[in-house]
Amino acid sequence: MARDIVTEPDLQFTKDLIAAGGDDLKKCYQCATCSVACKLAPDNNPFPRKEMVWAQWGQKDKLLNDPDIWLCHQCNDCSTMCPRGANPGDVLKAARKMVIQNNSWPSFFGKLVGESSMFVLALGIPAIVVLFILLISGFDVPAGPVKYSAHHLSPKDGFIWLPVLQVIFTVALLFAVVSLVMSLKSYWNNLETNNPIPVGKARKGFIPSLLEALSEILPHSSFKECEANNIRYSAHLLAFWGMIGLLITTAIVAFNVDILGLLPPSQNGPGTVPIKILGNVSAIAFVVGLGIMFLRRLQVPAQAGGSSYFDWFFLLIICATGVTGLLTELIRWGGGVGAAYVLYAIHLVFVLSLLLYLPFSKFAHLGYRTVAIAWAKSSGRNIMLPTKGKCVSAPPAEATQS
Amino acid sequence: MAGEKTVLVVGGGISGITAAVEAAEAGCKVILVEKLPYLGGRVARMNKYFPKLCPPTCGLEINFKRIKRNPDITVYTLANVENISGAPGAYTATIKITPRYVEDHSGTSKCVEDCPASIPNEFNYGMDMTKAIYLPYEMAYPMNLVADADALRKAKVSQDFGAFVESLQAKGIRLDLDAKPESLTVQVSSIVWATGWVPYDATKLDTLGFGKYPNVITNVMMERLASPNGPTGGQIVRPSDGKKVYNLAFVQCAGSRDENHLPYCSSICCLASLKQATYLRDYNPDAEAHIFYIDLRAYGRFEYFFDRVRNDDKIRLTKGKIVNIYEDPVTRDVIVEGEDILSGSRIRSTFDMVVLATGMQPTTSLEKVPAQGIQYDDYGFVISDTGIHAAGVTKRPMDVGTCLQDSTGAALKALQDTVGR
Repeated sequence: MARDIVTEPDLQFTKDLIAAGGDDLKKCYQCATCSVACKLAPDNNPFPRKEMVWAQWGQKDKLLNDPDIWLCHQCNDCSTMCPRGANPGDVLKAARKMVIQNNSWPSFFGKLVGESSMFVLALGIPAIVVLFILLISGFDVPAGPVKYSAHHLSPKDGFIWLPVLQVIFTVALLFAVVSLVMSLKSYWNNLETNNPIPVGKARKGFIPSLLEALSEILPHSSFKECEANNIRYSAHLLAFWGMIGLLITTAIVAFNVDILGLLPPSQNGPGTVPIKILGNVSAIAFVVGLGIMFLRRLQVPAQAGGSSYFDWFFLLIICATGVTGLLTELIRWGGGVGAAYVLYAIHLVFVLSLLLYLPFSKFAHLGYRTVAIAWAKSSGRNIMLPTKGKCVSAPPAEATQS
Repeated sequence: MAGEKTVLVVGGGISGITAAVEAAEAGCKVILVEKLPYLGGRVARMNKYFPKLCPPTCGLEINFKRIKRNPDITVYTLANVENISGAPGAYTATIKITPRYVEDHSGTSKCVEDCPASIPNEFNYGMDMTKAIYLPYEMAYPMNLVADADALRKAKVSQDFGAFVESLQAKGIRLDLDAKPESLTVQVSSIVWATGWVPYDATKLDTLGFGKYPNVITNVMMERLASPNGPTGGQIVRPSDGKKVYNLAFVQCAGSRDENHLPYCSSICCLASLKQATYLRDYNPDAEAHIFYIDLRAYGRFEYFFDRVRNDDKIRLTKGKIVNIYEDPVTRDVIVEGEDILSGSRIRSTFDMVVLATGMQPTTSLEKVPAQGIQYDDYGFVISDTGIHAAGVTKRPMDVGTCLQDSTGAALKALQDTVGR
């Protein structure tokens, strides 16, 4: 008995978690207010109380293979009600960061986006790539109105030679997607083998679970339940659908140009073409949603939750992508030809950063969260237990008297 | 030794009474000041003490006797200390005394039953009403009637009021609503400050339903409910419909150990709930009590009391704080919500009634000592101890037994001040 090892705490893990933003985790005294305050936690093994004790006791394998940390949308209902100021919301956020970094492949990229000392390098790499593209395209620009894409180099009929841009950005996207899929696959395997949450025998398949997860993610129906930080739901919904709108816009244009050989409606033409309306509306939603999140992190950090470098890095590149894109368009409308080209080049740097760092930055949450929600659906996590009746019933005579 | 020197004791609860009696019996003059119309404070409103489960009146009675027979103790009730100046060994204190508005030595409330005005009975934490001229409780010291002047002035317009005043005069009870407060200045060598505590305001716990649902009460109310001289005569029944309680939940740390409320542990609430669970089991042997806790803290020898109570299989203990309380609007049953930490699943359970184990908030956090140089901790407990000595819960949360020891110690320090040491 005395020799039984109940658990082996990984103290370094606890320290890393504290460094990653879970500063107050040691204040937790396990009262379970958080597990009940949380509107999203299921009744069976609710979170985040159990995650707090794993965090304190250095239970790395449990915490990092716990899909529940991704069911949390960090609305901070738990942190607001916590009697000790242990901020469970921040601890789960730190755990999510560590999951992304631990599953990063190649792992160097995890460090690149997670450490502030690497900031210059992290932005320098995409900047150099864009400069390289510019070098190949030649720095000269055609006379007349703004035209970003050059289809021919001599005579040069645009700013950037399209084929080189397409090849490099497609390779970056492919790298990101392959890396993310590999990370998620290893994560799913971990969920299947090392998952600390007991599951029932009946399991749903991956595809139906994924569909069920998506039906919850697309309208943000869980996110809406959060109370303390409710405005984030609207902000995230705007940014989310703005991003999807921009993706669809890009996909349609690329399909028209590259597959159908149709040139896009003139860049300098009227803004009333449907594809332009979609693009512009999406861009505005994207920038407004991100703007709200950015400002709230600056102005009401207590409510928005603590922000680590990891959060800021992602927020910076995604905000910068939206803002530079929108500014480029506005300046072009305003007739600033030279400025439009410069901003466009900067915009490309941020787009490339977003693609390249998709699996390693906080952006990867779109993959991990989807997988974890799918796992929760497949294992029937969302159980609602019935209200228990009284232990003792009053004798009938007394029960009827009043 | 202390000779003609005087000690001022502020607060006539168990701590103040103890300090006053101990100092006076050592040969000192004592002025005991109490803001309510009676001595005994919170303890007078308890049903039983833990761990011996004996009624507090027996302890109080002995002390009242010691006060009564000691000519060196002067008691002022309905009195407040408004200002203190001076230094250890020589203080000047101003005491304001509110009139009782009624003069009577019959010592019974029977003769004022025809009073046309009623007020919430504060002695029972507002769970019932009392007449506006009343005896605070059967064992009150001093055993004199007291009148609520505001309520009576409002009732003056009613027709039967004149007849009531006449009937009082016929009984030899003199009512004087125009009586004025008096002010008194005293010279004292030392001061013991024992103004005790107030129960934490449970209406601030907005998810626990107190004040919203009638069957959610607090632990101090439970003491009155179980008391033979309480609002129900000791029947543990639901406030909503008077039905006998079969299922009772205790919610520990209701607002305690919580940085949003009282950040500290009041140290007695666990034992109070264990004790109150025995009230229910004695009153109704079929009933079950269920205590929901973060940590059950039965310190020192109270561990034996805890052991005794937990051996009762109809007293259940569940680790997990109750976070939300709802009411079934039809049955008025109360549903508590929390997490059972040991099994790791949420609980939603139905009870006839719920007791919130609220903590002790020092009175000095609300009303400071009217003197210079008093130091308080973050929560309002007094930490300085020169010339003005805190005793009992003014110093930190403690049980009655510890208050007695602490107040005896405070009396000794006061005596030292009288001889300049």
